[in-house]
Parts: sequence; C-alpha cells; structure tokens
Amino acid sequence: MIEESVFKRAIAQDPRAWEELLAAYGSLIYGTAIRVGCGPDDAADVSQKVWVSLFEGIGSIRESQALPRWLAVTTKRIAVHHLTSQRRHYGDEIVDEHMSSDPSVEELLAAEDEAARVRKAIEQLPEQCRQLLPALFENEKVEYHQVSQALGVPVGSIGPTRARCLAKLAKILAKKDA
Amino acid sequence: MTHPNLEQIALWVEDKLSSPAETQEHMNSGCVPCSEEATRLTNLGPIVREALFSNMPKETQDHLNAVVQTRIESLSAFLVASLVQDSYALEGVRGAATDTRHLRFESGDLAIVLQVEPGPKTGSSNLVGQIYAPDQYDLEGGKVQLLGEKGEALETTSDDLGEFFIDAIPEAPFTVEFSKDELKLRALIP
Repeated sequence: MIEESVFKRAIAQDPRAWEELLAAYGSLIYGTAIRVGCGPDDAADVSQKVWVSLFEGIGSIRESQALPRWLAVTTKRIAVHHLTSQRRHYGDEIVDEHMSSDPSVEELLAAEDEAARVRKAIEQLPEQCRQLLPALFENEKVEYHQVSQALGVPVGSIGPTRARCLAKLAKILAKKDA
Repeated sequence: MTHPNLEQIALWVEDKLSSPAETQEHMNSGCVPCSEEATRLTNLGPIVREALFSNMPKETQDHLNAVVQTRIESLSAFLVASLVQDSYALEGVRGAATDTRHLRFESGDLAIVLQVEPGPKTGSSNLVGQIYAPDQYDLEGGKVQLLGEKGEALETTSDDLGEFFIDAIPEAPFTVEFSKDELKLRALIP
C-alpha cells in the first residue's frame, strides 16, 4: 500500500511518484495478467496498457486505497480482451493453452498478497539461495545442467542446495505465519 | 523418537535414496508431523515459482517508467485540445470496422480535425488529419506524431495547409501530437 501523498503527487504528474507507484503495484498488474492466462510477453503488453490507462485515468480514482482494486479490475479486463483478440488472430487452441480459470478480483488480490509475502521471504535468504531459486523456478522447464552452467556450480550440488534453501524459506514463512 | 530436522526432511524430499538411512527409516515409519512437513516442502516449489513468475521483470518496469516519463514531458509542453466532435459518440455505438470515424479537437483558436478510415488491409486503419491555426502560424513541415498505448510511435510531417496522413495506425486509444516552432498541440483519441 502506498501513502496518500505519493498518490497525490502521481496525480500531479510527479515522475518520482510514478516510479514509486510502479514499484508498489507493478507485480499486481503483471501478476494479474499472468494469473488470468497471459504468457510473459503478453503480460508485459497488458501491463503497459494498464499503466497508460492509469496515467490517463488516475484523476478519477478517489483515494490511494482504491488503487489495488482499480488495477486488478482494469488488468483483468484488458488481459481478457487481449487474449480474446489473440484468439481471433491465432485460433482457439494456442490461446486456450494459456487461458486460466476465471479468477475473481478478490482471488487475484489475495494471490498477489501471498506472492508478495513469498517474494519478501526469498529476499531474506542467503545470497546463494537468492540466486538459485529464481534460476530454478522462474521458467517452467529448467534442467539442473542449465542451472549449473548459468550459475557455475556443480550439477550434483544443486539438488541438496535447493532442498536447504526451501527448508530455510519454509522456516521464514512459518515465522511470519505465527 | 527423534524427528529429523526440517533441512533433513527437505533433503529426503529432494532425493529419498541419498538421504541418511535413519532419515529414510523415520520418514517411512509414517510419522505424521514429519510427513506434513514433507508435504509442505513439496508444495513450496510451485508457490515459489508462482511468486517469482508473477513478479514484474526489471526490463518491463524500466520500460513502463520510461513510457510515463515521456508522457509527462510531452504533457508539460503541449496544449491539450478538447474533443468536441466524435462521429462514434454521435452514433451512440461504436461504428463497424469499415466506417470512417470523424473527430474534431479544439483549443482556443486552434483545431485538429481527424479521420480514422479503413486501410487497404482487413482490420487496418489510416489517419487523415488537418491542423487549423490562425494565419500567423506556418504549418508546413510541422512534426506530427502518433503515440499508441503500446508504445507505438509513428511520425510524419504536415504540408502547407496543415494536412497530414499516417497509414497502418494502431487501434484507439492513441495520441496525436503536432509541433512546429512554438505551436504544440495534443489530442487524445479515445
């Protein structure tokens, strides 16, 4: 959640305030597009459309607290429209591979809260884990030998290191749950 | 009974056969709390993946910051003309893709008149426009920029009557900017 003063400065077109807004809500927008069914390239396109819509329409949003919901609703609408127009261009099969179920705005907001909590916990891990986990999990199909080459670590050490990192992460998340 | 710690359980989840014999024995004994920890650790992989995959990449963030920066700079320099006539609004509904859309924007004694007309390819559109300004302004060679909402930027120049043409334009909304010397005018096409 951003401060009301940042929101007011963004309405007044202060570039720094817009950077702060993006740092706070960029992943709500991008993540919502992903959760609605976009791949990374489409999510980037949708994010840009949402960001321009916000720039054009921020004056109509009454307060900063209304912003997350406005962004989730707008992103979902633009992402669905984007995927539907792709369906018209490329046929149903390709798009359907990426189409998720139809999450509600509440579910999208809750999913981003949870993802943000996990990202914060990852930031508290040792350097080795902060390098390894993104390399292992950011893409769908990653082989250990690819990670070994990218990070310059022996293939045999990746599994045990991954296990230790997940154990550390589970501890951090459990502490925050308590 | 001594339970393995979380790290030992994680190593067992990762590679059951390589973990120490006592961990394997304990985990295979059906210990409920340790099985629950193992399930939690197994489920953590997809949770981490979702958290990282849904995080906006740095290059997208940089690009969006640049888009807004450009818009702010542009707004501070340009007079924003108001939409006073839109054939789509008059019709009450969006026209079909084959219709020509007529728009008029005004700011004081300046005006931009635009026509969005179907292009030669199916679904494509062209923009025909004219700037109207008092006689003291020389409109020839004015820079006309079309800025799409996905960052598209198309450019042309106006002739001595202030007329211009841009083909293969993106779908609305987009912005048209005209600039020549001190005359800077901007219209947002909804």
